[in-house]
Amino acid sequence: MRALVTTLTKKAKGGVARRDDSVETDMLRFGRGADCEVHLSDPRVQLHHAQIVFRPGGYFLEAFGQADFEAGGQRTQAHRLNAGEKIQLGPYEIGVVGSTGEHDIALTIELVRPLGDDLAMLRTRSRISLGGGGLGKRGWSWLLFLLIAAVFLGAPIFAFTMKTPSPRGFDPAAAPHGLLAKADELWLSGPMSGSHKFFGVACESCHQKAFVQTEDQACLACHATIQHHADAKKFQFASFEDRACQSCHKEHTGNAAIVLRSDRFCTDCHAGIKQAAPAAGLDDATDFARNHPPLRATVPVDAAGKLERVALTGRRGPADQIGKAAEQSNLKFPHNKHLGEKGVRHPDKGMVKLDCGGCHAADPGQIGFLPIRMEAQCIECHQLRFEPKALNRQLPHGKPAEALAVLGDFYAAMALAGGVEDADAPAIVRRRPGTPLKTEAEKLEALAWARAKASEVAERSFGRSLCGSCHTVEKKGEEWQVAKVHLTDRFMPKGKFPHGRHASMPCGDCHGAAQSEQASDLLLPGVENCQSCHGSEKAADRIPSACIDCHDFHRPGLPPMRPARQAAVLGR
Amino acid sequence: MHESVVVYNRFRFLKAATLLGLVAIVLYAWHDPAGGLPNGGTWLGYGLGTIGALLILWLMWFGVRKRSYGEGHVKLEAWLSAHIYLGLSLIVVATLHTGFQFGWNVHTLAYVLMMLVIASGAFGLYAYLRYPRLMTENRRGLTLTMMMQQIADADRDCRESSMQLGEEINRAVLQASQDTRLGGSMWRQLAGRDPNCATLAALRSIERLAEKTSGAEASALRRLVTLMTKKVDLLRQARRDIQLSALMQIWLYVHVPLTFALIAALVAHVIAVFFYW
Repeated sequence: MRALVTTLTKKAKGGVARRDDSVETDMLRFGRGADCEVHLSDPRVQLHHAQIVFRPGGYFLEAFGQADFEAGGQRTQAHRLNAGEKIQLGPYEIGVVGSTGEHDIALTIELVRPLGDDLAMLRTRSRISLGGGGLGKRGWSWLLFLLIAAVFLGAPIFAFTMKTPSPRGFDPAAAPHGLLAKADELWLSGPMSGSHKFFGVACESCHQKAFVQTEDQACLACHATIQHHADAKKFQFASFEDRACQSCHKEHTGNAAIVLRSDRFCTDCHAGIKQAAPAAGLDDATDFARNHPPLRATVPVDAAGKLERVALTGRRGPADQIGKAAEQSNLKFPHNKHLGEKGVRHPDKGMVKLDCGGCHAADPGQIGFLPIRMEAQCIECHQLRFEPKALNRQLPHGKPAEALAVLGDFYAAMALAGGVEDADAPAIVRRRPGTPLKTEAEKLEALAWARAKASEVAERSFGRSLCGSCHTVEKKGEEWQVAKVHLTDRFMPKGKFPHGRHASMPCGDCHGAAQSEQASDLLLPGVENCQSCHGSEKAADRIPSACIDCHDFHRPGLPPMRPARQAAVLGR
Repeated sequence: MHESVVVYNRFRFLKAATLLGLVAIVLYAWHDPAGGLPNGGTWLGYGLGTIGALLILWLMWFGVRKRSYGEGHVKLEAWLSAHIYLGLSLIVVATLHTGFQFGWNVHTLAYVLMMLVIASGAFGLYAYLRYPRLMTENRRGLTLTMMMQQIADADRDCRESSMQLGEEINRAVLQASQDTRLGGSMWRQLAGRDPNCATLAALRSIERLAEKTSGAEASALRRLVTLMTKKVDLLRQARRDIQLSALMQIWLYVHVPLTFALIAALVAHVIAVFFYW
């Protein structure tokens, strides 16, 4: 066949360049192979892609092997050529012109989809800089700014506006629920103190007004009875009128700061308290180990029970307490005899060995001891029997007039019954029991004996053997007077000494009871004894001991610290 | 960037920042807050917090100042030196401000964001001190544009030299020239390599095919393999260049947005503290 192949090339300035090639061949092969009649130099075309052959019926375009082309919108491997149609072969378009005078077939070839500029395509495919994609720095900045502002500022403020503080502090039932209502927990600046944890998540319990420090009323809702530190009338400067609760009690640092433990807060004033408040009668104190005044016990110092603070010393130990500071309790009580090695004589059990705990029972709080009572601690041994022939009868304790009446009644009854076995007694009372008294004179004689006998027994019992052995007893005319007993409940009311926490120590380490012969011995140790174990606030070689370990700031027994507000809370 | 930012004016700002840090540490050790626990609410806590917040605002101003290069009395170099050292001093100031009290709250959030901003800035300083030299070494006198031009040229050479070779090889070469890309996603740029590199895959398959051929075709294949190998080397070099410049940019994508996050958290922190005083 003779074929005319016209190659069309678009020119940069517009228009089309044509190059005609006339080929005489049996088959017209298309491909990028150099041996092809129509050489299509593009990698998207196969080495031998297709050929045009003449067969009965016309000219056919037939693809080699797996190759194909597109004719009439269909992908195909063989196609009869018609004049005027366009065929897509790879990136080339083959126009079928048909037969001309000289040529059996004329074709146009145009590269309609060139590969393009390699560099431009590489640039298009590649992203070689961080900019451009996504939100960018500015976008992320705005997003994060707004997100954090909304979650950590907007939401908590909204949560605050949802809540109204309950007048009685935290009220779980009234608190709003939901995630948004809890948003202000994001503001929690540190762990709550243990005692406040149960309402700690309800910020509004304390933070009742925005931008206002926690007010006293929030604290007083629970702590309505909190007391003064000192008598506010006498010591105005110790009333702390100008401070709020939160000035001293700082929340959100766990348990560390809610109750001030630092000595500094005490020694601020107490380092010079003697000069600042002479009327208080206090000595200066700055440090437990180095500068603490002697302990002073508040004890009765005379028979009338006048209380005074008596300084305690005991530098050489408990035995040093004997015979120094004196307590006037109006009792006679030799501790040494009760604690003797051999023990004491029990009326029924023979010799019994006593120890401190036999009489001194700890109070339920393990702070001090229950008061000593005759009926509880003494009477088991010190029975108030007055008549050997009636061991089942005892005098009542604590009631002298009743005791005298008991004696009178007892001996009167004995005289009237007869049968008294006393050789010195008149015959009328020694008569056979059951014999009735016949005359008035006999009765009077018998009763006279009874009175005399009762008086004699009273003299012996009250004055010496029974009452007098422990009490100071005085006879005024016919009346017996037992001096009022002044037993001290708290020797040091301004300090705390938890006996329970010292239970591992023998009592004798502090109290010289085993050597004490007199009840007037004040068996309390001096501060030196404490200092042998307890040191300064930050001691390294002793138990670190702060003021507040022994002393309360808000002192029990004193009036309310903020009377008006506390009354308002309590009265509600 | 020149090292002079680090040594600027004989470490003037290093000295200033060290002094600030030391004063803060001494005061922290000396002060004895109520209850014995240091926190942001003591006089020192408020003091350090105020200094820290003002420092953060001033450090942010650098972002504005650097956009007006050459203006103002103080050289930008001095600003940057101060930005670096005073920024680092915040580690001490802000940590002591916290009193080492941390929790799941806005306060610790502000602290953590600040530390992340400082860490990203520290990486930025490292990047500017180290990577330019690595970049120069890697470039061997070429720019990235020149490398890309050479890659494009190599593509054309490869295609031409495979034109008379078999379909399989021709297709591989065509794919290598059409599918090979540089950079890409942030991770791809930072990784500095492309495990799915089309050119590398094509080279491997051509090498496999070359083992089975002989004669004239084999010598044509050898020439192709040489060309492809050259292209792979160019790609590796370009990707390393892209990696290094990505590393020099990436920290700012953390530093700047986190700074704005920090400002939001800082404002929330300050307002929260006084709102719930």
